[in-house]
Amino acid sequence: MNDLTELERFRAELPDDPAARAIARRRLVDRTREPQRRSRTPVLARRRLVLATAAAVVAAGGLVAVDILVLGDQPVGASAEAASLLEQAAERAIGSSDPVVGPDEYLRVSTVAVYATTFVSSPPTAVNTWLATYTEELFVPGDPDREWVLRRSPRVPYRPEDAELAEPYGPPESEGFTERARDGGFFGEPVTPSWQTPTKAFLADLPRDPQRLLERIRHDAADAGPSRDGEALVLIADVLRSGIVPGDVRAALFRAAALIPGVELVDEQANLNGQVGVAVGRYEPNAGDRQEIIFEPDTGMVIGERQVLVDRGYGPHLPVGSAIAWTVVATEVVPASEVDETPADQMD
Amino acid sequence: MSALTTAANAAGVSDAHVIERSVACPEKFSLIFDRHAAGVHGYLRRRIGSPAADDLLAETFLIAFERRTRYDATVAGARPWLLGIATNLLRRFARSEVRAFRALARTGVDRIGPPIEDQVAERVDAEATRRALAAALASLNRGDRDAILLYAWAELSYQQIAGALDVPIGTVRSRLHRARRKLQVALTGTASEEE
Repeated sequence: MNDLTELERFRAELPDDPAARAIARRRLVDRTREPQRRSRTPVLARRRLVLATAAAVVAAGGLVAVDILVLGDQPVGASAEAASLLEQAAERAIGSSDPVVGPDEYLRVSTVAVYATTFVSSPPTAVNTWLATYTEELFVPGDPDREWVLRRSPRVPYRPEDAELAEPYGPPESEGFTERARDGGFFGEPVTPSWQTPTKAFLADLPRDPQRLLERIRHDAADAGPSRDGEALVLIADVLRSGIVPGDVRAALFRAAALIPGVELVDEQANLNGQVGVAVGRYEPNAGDRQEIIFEPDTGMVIGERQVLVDRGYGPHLPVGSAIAWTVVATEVVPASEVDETPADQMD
Repeated sequence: MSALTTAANAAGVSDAHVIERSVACPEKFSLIFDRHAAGVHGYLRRRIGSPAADDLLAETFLIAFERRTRYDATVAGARPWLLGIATNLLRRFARSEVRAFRALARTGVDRIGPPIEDQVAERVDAEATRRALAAALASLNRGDRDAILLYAWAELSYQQIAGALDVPIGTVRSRLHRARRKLQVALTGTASEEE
């Protein structure tokens, strides 16, 4: 009798459990998409950057076919409730007027972002995940010859329990800053137009027909994300949270979301950082979470977006039902004098 | 598996190369997960069972991602490195791992093993062997247990175990020797002297 042979047989017949690996993969992918330490690339450009690479591979094959089930002449997409609220928002968005920014004015896009961040102890024997937050103000000048200004607060723990978890890891990993650049080319690099960093030209170029817009989204998403339908809604949420999407494009995006299978009404009174709107979202079984967009059907305005854990928590501080990332965005036209008022390190 | 993953595998890109690329392009690191998660998961599950193994799998890859800038680029395959991280994380569960071995030795029922109906269908002598093994594994010190289980369950070589646990290869030899003697005594009542 050989000891090694017996040991090799010991618990060797454990059935594989690939489903249990999906969550681990998602946590890793989320981490790889977080802003990296000492990164010079803006956060919003970093998130889901993988798309650019994936799209390049698929581009040679031309447009990806869109397979939308059709019953009669009605495509089957979102639930009836979600579709009707999205349609209402689309009609209001088309009827709304976009902010007009004069030559001596700026469009201020204020963002509050919260997301789960993961830290590893040193020596690496423990991993903790908690929520971190920062606020950001982007000033887009009415006069194209003026510089854009980006001001971001330090990144800090969001809740008291997050501060407790973060405490042993030292001070926040990112400090606040103010950047200035022509045409939004912060950090010395021109903007690459994308769903995460849309430019006026990028938005103007998008199809206004919902079906064709969804085809374009699916083409750009290529094979990124845990599923095609899931990634399509993620890209819609990404571009909406930029805060600069004109009404007609917003309407097309709402209608495109209504064509995505699995999209449903999550909450009619969703509260995102004190603002209440309708949450429409899609559960992604391959990731165990739900991407939501939160908007006002009465005005067609977007409040923000969030990702909620559905199948499994990230430890005791982020149980099932927690939002592991959310963004609230608001825009306002302000006079030039507002731009330089608050230094970044005094933002909350 | 995505088209990107398939393409990279087909091109025979080494783990070391992927990890190096992931320093500038973090998203590439998910390819390391796609290549090795099943193996690391299997090893973790065999040692501590689910759901603890599922959590440690996630932590193993998060830690590996954090440490990717310090990966030794001369080692083409990342498996031993990942298993080393996983084994370090298992320290937190050392007590419950030993408890499970002891319970199996005492009752013949393995909390971590396959479903009970498969276990009772086993031959009686196979069960006796397993209980003896469990008792022996429970009696090993942690370093010896890590070495023998990386060898038998994760199929690492002496050299790879030395790299994974960051100890000299001589230490691996003596740990494996000690562990095997205990297993042999538990199984036969005597230790073979040929090793």
